[in-house]
Amino acid sequence: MIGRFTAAARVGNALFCVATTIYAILTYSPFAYEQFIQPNMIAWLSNFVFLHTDFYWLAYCLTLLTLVPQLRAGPARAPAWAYIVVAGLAGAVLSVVRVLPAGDTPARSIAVAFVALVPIVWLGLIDRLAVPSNLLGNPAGSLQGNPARNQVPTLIAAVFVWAVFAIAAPSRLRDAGGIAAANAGPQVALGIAASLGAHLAAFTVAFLTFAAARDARVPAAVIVAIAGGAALHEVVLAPISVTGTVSWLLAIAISSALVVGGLGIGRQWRGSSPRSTWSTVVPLAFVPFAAFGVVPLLTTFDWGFMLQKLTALIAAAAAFAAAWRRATRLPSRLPGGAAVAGAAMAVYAATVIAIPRLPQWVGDSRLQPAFALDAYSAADPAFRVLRQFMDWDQVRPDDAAFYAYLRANSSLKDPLAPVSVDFTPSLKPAALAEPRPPHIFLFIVDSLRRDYLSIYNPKVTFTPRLDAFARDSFVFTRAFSRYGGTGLAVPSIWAGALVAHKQYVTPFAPMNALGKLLDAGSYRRVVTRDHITEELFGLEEGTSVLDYRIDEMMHTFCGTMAELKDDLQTHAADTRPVFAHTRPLDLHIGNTRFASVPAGESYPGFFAPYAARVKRIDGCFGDMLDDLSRRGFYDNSIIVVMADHGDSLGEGLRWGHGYTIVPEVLRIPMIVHLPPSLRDRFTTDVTQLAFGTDLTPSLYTLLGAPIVRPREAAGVSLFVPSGGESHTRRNDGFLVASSYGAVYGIVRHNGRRLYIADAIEGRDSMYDLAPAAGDARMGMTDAERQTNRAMIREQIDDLARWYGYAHP
Amino acid sequence: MNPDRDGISSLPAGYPSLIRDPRSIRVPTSAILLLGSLVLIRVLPTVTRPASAADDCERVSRVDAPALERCLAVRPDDVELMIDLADLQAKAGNRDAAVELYRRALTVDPEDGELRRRIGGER
Repeated sequence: MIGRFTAAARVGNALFCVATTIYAILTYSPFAYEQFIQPNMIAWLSNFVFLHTDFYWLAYCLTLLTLVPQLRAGPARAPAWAYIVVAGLAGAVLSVVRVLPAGDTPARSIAVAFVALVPIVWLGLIDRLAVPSNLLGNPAGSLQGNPARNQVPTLIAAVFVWAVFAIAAPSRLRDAGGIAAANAGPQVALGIAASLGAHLAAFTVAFLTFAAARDARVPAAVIVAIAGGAALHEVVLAPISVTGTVSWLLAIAISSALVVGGLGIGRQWRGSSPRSTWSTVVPLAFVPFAAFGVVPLLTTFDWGFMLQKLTALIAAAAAFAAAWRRATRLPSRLPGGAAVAGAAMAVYAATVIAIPRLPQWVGDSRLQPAFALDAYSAADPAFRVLRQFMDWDQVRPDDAAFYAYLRANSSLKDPLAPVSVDFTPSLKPAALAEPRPPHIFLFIVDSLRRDYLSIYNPKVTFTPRLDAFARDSFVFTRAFSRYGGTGLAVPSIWAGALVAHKQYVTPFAPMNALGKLLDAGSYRRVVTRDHITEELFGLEEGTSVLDYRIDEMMHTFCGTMAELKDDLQTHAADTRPVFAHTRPLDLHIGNTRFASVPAGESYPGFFAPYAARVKRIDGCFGDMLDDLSRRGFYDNSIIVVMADHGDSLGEGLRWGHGYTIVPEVLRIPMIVHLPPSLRDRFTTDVTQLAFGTDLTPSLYTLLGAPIVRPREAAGVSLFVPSGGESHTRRNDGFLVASSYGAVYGIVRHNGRRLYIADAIEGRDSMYDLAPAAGDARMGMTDAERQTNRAMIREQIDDLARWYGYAHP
Repeated sequence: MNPDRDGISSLPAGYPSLIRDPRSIRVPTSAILLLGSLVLIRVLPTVTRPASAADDCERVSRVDAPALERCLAVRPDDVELMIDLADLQAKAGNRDAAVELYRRALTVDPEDGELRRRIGGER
């Protein structure tokens, strides 16, 4: 009983330590710090940081109780006393000094991440000394005979894991509409077949690795630590932009600490009693629990399938461990030997060879095996994670080098000096042709999708006020964000240009082309305070700050509009033009995924919680327009309604944004209302390719500042003087990127093609964005791949030259 | 050499016989199978990948009408190819052919304002 209490206390202590390490890693990754921690997006993590010292002492006291027997006598006496003293001193330091890092001290973040793992290892070693056991020395060592002869149980485990996840997949796919109904059956069958081959191969390799380790007298724990480290590196750390040597060291350290700590906990839990049947049943039972219970729960708030893949990995590892233990009890006379491994690999080889050739063999050109596997793997995380490690779709010679290049140029961590973005050199008030510039209202609705607005989608019935506004405005029909997440999208809008893939280059003022224009126009600024406006845009004296006391994730359009109306009323006598800017988060996935729908409302065909909030925004927007009309502002204002990026709402089982740049994330609404005086003098082609980065140069043009495009990475003015020709872009390719990871793309052909190179998942894809194509995946030739990759390289190289940083 | 005098016999089980007869060293079957499996996983997809269709249309000259026509046959929905070819036709005075190509492009992308303007300009 004491042993079990000790084991439970160790688990609690380990959870505390791992949470500290997770927090430290998130502060090391600039994007994770800016996007998850600064806006308090992960509530439990914010609470954890606040109560960190209290949790530390709680864990310390519990550990102290468990160490009492060791403090009296025994082989663990000295390390136990040492632990009590050192951990006590560390606690004293924690109580008076803030040890947890902020986002601007990467060296400290890494140091804390490593140090936080020490208690787990230390206590694991104490437990190893304190509880004698002959059961855990080397699990691999207990296998008798030719290891290949006992592979059958692990292959049964492979089939079990494959079957459970395969059974769960079709219903999830059907719900998501991830596979075309026309030939859904064959596509699902392809996915299931490929998954079987992958599972058999992976479990065979795992089995042979442990068997070879046993033969070489390498402890199984070492293999587990290395395998766990590789999984953490690829599945967890890469998606949050922790890459390179640091990532490998962290991954191996975490994995090793968990193995050492886990072995110690196992000893405390079991004492010297032998393993029971439960040690086989529980891991196997976890597999269906993971596939049918955990994975569906994780789907809506996952980060690039990371948690789902991790869950599948844990389930597969548990099943393998149970099978391995079973194998140790079987006689070595099982039939097969090397033939068993050979048969398993033959199944894998058959799927690799046959699947890409099926369309040719069956004469069905609609069957696209790569698309089918991509779609299927969204519903089967066990297959998805195996594809990441053993994908046969990405096997060109330059793949590894290209993805390494993208990773090396993403989420830059070294300090960078700002560049100067000047559309009008020596911009002064005299440079503006407008003697009294119009008011500017810039409403960037976070995560607003254009297909939830009736002006873009006739099926929408819940945005009447925005619809009326749009009919009195310019509605850009092929507008895109240059970045698939707020972190870089919003700064790029202000800069009117691509920005370095770093959060952030500071001071931002030299790059803030919009800010320079506002200064030249003597605008009175009314700006929502959030972590980006505060850090980059500047809320200097004289700025009316909106949403000042409201937690960032709670910024709502309606709440902000109420404050804005009050501000306009308060400053009614101020004759300066107004610049108002807000980025409400009503529609952010963090707010909508678990939101309810008001009673009596229903939105068939739409994600109801999201649609309900769009409807609410629409009402408040209408009220705001009424207010502006009453004040006589409406006909003297440039009013922009746009999004910083879109959002995935279940397409292909994707939810949210940030980690990728699929069409629904990059497409944005962009509606620009001009005062009649400007409408008479300027024109535009609303069907031209438009980007968020074009807004600022457009405002320069509209305010009469002559613009000179400072760099290819800069935007262009969407408006030209009446009678002029809009800027044509149909022969160029435009770089787009995820804000937070090594995922880049090219928008070409006047917005009809989107190419994506995903260095996290290790695959490239292309989408047909022509109006009738429905943003469908499309095949590509090697030449198209090379052309698009060359464009990506060229534009990243140009950014590197502009910001003056060395890159591979 | 006297093994006992050198202390070899005091080594853990298995080692004395390996030292006395190095030829008895055997690479374990599991290691061979593991290596073979890893090589298969790494190499097989590369060597069995179906060849990509030949495609020189990515770099086709925008003033080479025969090449554009050939590429258009391969990529019948490529609006940019149609526009390039239509521009060449218009320059050569073949207005009807140019308008026909612009119209064809419009069927792929009916929302493209520039195409509509070009059709208007050629009328």
